[in-house]
Amino acid sequence: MTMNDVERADRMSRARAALMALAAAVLLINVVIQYGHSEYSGPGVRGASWLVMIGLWAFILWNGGGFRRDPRVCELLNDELSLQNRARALAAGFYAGIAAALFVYVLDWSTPVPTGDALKIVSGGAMAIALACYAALEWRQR
Amino acid sequence: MAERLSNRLRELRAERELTQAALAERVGVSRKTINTVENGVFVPSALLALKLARALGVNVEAVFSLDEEEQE
Repeated sequence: MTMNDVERADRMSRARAALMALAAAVLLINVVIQYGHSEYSGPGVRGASWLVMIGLWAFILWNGGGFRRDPRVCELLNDELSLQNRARALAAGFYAGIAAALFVYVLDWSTPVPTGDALKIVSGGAMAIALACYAALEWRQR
Repeated sequence: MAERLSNRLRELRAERELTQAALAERVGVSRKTINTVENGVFVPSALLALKLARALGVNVEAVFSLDEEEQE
């Protein structure tokens, strides 16, 4: 472990937080602008691409950004604090998912919500909150 | 009575003329972790507390202590 590794990990950690905040914003924007357009949530390439995107971000959040090339920097990036932040972000995402599901359930009483859109709201909302929470925690602790 | 973990990490680090990054390098954690421990934002595990103490050449009790504060 060198000083250079510590500084590099610092920069990469900030970049990771910024990237996750951006991803959260993109996910939420997608949920909003694609709402009511069945071609984005139905079976097909567009619908499947959403699932792939959610799966990809879940994987990135779970493994801390996929920085695996340099094991020393990877160790610094995924240290105790970062793992705790990740656990808190995943918990926030879980509760956001439950809140989104309740929101869809209540909304459906007045306005029928198609299943595809409902799944998008729940999965997109949960993932966006998890990513935003992680980014906020990492950014605040600079 | 509420208990709070306080630490003398900043003080001990300054005495040894170490930067946060230098201590982070010795311990094998990010600079951010050192910063959050110093500010009391992050409570480290026993393992990290022992590593920090060892890097500073003191006992863990010299770095961390349990304070009791009055609850209203």
